Amino acid sequence: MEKQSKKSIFINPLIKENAILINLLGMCPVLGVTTSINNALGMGVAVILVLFCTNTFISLIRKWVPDEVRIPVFIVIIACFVTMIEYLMKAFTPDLASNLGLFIPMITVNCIILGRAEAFASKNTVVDSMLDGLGTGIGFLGSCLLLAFFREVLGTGGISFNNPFTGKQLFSFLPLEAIKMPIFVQTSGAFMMFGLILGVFFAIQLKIEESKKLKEKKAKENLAKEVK
Amino acid sequence: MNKFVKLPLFLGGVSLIFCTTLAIVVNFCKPQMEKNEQKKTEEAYASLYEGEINILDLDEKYLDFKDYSQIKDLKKIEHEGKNSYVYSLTTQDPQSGTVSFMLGIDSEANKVDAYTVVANNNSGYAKQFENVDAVKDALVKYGDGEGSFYRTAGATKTENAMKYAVNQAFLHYRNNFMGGNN
Amino acid sequence: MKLAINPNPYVRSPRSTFKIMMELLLGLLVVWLCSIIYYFTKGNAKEGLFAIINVLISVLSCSLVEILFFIPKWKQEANHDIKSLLKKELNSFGYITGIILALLMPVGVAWWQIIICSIVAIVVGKMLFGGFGHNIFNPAIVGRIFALICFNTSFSYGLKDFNGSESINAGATILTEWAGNGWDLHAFNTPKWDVVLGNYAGALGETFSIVLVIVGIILCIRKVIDYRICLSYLVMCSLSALIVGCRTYYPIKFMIYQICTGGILFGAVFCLTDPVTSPTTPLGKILFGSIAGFVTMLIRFRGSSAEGVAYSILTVNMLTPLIDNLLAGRTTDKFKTKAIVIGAISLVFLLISCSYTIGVKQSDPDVNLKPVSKEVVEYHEPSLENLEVYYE
Repeated sequence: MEKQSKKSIFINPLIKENAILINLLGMCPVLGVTTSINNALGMGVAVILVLFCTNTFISLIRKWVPDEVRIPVFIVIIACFVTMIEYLMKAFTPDLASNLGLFIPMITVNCIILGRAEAFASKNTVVDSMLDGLGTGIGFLGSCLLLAFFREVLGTGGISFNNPFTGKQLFSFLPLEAIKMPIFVQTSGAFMMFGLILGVFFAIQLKIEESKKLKEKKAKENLAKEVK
Repeated sequence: MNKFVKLPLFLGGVSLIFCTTLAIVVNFCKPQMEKNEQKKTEEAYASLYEGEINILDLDEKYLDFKDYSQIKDLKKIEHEGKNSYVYSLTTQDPQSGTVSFMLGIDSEANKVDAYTVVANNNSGYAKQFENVDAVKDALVKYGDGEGSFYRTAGATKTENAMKYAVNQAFLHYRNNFMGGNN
Repeated sequence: MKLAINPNPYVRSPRSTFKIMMELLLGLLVVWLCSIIYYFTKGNAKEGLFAIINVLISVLSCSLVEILFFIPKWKQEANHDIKSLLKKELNSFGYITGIILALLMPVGVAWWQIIICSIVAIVVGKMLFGGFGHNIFNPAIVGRIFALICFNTSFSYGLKDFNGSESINAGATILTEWAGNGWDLHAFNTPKWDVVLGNYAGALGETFSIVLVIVGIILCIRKVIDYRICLSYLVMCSLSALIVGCRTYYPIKFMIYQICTGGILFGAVFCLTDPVTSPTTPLGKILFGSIAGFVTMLIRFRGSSAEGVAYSILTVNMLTPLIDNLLAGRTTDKFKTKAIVIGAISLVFLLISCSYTIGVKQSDPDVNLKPVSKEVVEYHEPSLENLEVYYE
């Protein structure tokens, strides 16, 4: 594996190798949590913190972990960090914690975190792992917010945002409330919207690749003409 | 180092570090979590009555519910100079699901003066009870004379279970608080 | 494309898919005409107008969405004039989805709701799977269920409700009220002939039982729809309803009411028999109909919503590839094995239906269940005489 530059380690997981939209990992909490932008934001921030902490710690101890117990040790570390975050959330953001419910402890078994720990953090330096954790987490947050935006706008008619620490409503802007379709804040609408977003995402990617290929072809032809 | 020394040493070290950090974080969060719980119960009781409420202490002997399977909690609340006893009840209807609701009984007039549904995970029956005023329009009499019965409009199974729970609250109230035992 | 997997000889006939669909369209137009006449005479002119407008809006929006999907491919063809585009659309039968969808909706549905439902029906139910002949689910039912989940509380089923008063209860049909009363025949206030002829508030096309039966029989004779599906579905539904009805005092009446209310007859004739989404082998068709009937009654009696027909149609549409996989290509024509299989499965279903009788109210026909006095009873002071204590 060639060494990647620090910038590409951070930028890659954002869009090109997005954990949810390209690698399709860890989709279960995404579908359950994106009923509103509040919940998506809370979940995304929690995942960023967990990824950052676990990646750092695992790459710190990577030289001393015996091979036989590698995966159980990783899981214990992830579970401890997730429990810490869960208690912090229950204490300081109780409304958000009760909305997210079971999905916070479920971060432990999210494929993204164990995948990043196994594939990246246990083989790279601390700084690289930190950047990778941040990048993956921000990519996760971005796709969660995208899905939550569409689901909430179609499902409740607009966006309403609460202060996570106190639970008070900061603002609510509901332009489309007359034609709201509550199916999109339920599970079947989650699958439909997720599928549509994936389809649009792949279509955009295909178009970008096609235009790139066209450009390369044209550059080759021009080169061939010049040579002649 | 030998494999059998390295492994336990490493695992012990990691567990030690993490247990201590976890203990620190949990102890740091616990008081805040208790405060949150208290605030939630206060808000639940505050939704029963308008205005300021004050939760008073009750003697331990009143909180013995082993004969009453539906009563979960009892609190004495003072609001606007009057005292009320608020019972938290859950119904026990295995087919339609559980409904948790609170019933407040005015201690002087011996009448129900507050009613609110706290939680129901019911398929649709107990939704009829959500905004029902227990004093004004809870029950409607059907029929006349001998074959008459009471029911709420619409719900068929759940109001019997709820009547059972309410009657248990009344029984407890009658045994403990009536006749000037306030 | 579903290939013909019947064994040869192949007979060439002037009948094509287009002609079959046109005859189906004729049957749908007959039902639509019935509903227009009904809403103009029994309701007011506004509702009759809506009965016409809803169908037109639905047909137009379904066709437009399909045409939008055809445009990219059409632009790449050699000759693109409007005629070839319209011909593509004619052979893709989006308008039939449109008219079925509108006939499944009540008359009080808003115009934008129809448009959104038809977009979802065509895009999610048909086009994303590959167009006509490739869809798994019946697109009209997909649109109807979308409307059921999203817009149900804002529907008004028009006219007066079954109690004779203006329907204030939005989203309530005769079936949901009946279910809420525990399937009690005596709380069912619509008179006998009104139920059968369709003189009650329901969706646009599903109330006219006699007309639907006649149209269904004619279409079966003309071999437009398959009689096995209709028959097995109706037989399974009736037997389940009969078993439940034996708990009440009038079982046959209960059975007839069960079949005439809800969308059972409309679903049997037009939605379940869609050749794209139903199996191809005869035994498969009978299985398909029986499972659909079983699921319909299961949802009606054991589920929380009384709209069992739509969900059951989607369920058996999911099972169609499985049934085809299991049964396609068999050349054994043994009647005995087929009869044993069908008999065993039907017996299991009917035995399970016996459990539906739990929860059905069996009220004494002499007690008048209408509230005589709306006298409200307060919770009076608990004294020794007034307190009723229930013992476990």
